[in-house]
Amino acid sequence: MAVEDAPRAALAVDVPTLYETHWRAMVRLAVLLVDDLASAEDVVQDAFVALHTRVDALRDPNAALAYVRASVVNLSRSVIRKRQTVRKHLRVAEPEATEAADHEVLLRDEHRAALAAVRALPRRQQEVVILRYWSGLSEREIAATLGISAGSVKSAASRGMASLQRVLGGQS
Amino acid sequence: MNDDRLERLVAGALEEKARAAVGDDRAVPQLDAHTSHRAVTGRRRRTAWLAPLAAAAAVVVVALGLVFAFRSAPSKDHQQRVAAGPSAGAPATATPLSTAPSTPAVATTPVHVKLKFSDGSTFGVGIPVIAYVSRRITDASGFARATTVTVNGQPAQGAWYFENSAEPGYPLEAHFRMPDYWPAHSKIHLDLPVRGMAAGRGLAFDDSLTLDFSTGAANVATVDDLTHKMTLLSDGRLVGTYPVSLGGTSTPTSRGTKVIMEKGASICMRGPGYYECGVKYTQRLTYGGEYLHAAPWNTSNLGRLDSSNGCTNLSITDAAMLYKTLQIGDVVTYPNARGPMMQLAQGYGDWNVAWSQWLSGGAVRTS
Repeated sequence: MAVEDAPRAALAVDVPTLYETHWRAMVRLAVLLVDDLASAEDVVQDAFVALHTRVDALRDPNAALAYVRASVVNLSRSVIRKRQTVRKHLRVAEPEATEAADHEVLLRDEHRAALAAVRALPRRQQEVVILRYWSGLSEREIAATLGISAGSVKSAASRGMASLQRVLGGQS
Repeated sequence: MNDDRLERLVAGALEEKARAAVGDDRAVPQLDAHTSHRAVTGRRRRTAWLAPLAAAAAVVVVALGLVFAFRSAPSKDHQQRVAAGPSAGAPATATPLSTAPSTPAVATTPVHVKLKFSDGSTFGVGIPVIAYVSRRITDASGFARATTVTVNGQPAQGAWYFENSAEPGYPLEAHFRMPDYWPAHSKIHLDLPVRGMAAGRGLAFDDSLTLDFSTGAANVATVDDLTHKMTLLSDGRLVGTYPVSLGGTSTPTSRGTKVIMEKGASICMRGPGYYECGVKYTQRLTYGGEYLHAAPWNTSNLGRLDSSNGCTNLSITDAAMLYKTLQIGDVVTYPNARGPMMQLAQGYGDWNVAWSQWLSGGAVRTS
């Protein structure tokens, strides 16, 4: 059994299966990061396409998944950056809450407040909080995903949670 | 607010948003479908990376061969010892413990694990793998680490969550699932090589198990308590919409995601103002007795009014069709039913536990 599997494990990761299996979770992660579904889906497509170019990541499915996740975070960050640049240049007097409003209508008040508080965090803290409490990654995995030290993860997490406590702690 | 509650609030809020944006029944789009130019560059690149990949593969194969050569001697010896034991038969799943493995000095209490399902079944995509544990173990980190799962031969990620069990002689049960439903139309293999592994102070597992099962179509039904209609999607395609009547005011249907647990012949049911035997086309959703079933006595309320005892009442035609179409493990969600959230222990309530909480391991620590 193990012997039979060995050559297969040594060969490439089956990208279509990996995609099929993890697409939903990755789009959800991207939605949490970029706040609109269309960009989130694009980000995930690009992340999986980019995987094709990474021979080292293709040898081990865990590495492949970690690579896709890191790409999702990086690409999400550039989506946000682009969006901010566009806003700065257009200076259109639009109400702030343009995106995402539709699928948040259903959320419970308490959850809506929590999401608003998470969104108000600095970028890095936001990413750490999402990867820690939604993706359930360990500090070390988050460090690898974001390309920062475990110590930075720890301090971003504790600072982020402290701000959330300040904002949300008042309620009940 | 204490830290624990804050963490749960944040996790819960993120989970709700994530699921609201991408529903479980959302079909996975084609990879690359909208970016043909990328597909081309991808293909061109593939030839470029095939060569180093093949070389790498060869190296790994050779390395693995060496590893196996080194390990083959002791393992063969071990196998002979096991084969010499009293009941080495049963090719399927359990390997009985013949002698105490390698640490004879310490007296350990054996912990037996058994799986709820047997090999070769086909389930819906919401099915949890369920393992019963014969002792109240205190450490499942080895158990969790040793577990591997593949979907169509490819490694997949999943985790165990422990709860108290009602199974006689088995105080705990562990449920294994992936972050999302199993992929549809897939072959799933679970390997649990835990025999001899520690399960806490003075406890060690006495058997190793494997499980092979398949998933069918991704059948996900959603019951809307505002319109009193059930909508069934199969592999993302609409199968149909069916008028229902859920639990009345005093016996509301519970909220959340449920999974079909068993399909029954005719049974007796009791509700406000009725007691009926020979209820047809029943599909169980909770231990407490929520079912999908035909309710010819309630025809006038279907699609209009909640008046059942918590069950999802259907017309005979619809109940029969759903009985034929759905299988154990298929998903029925009640996003806005008026009862409390269905808990894991009330059935296969696995999907009502947020993934971030699932990773905590529940009643036993898994990391």
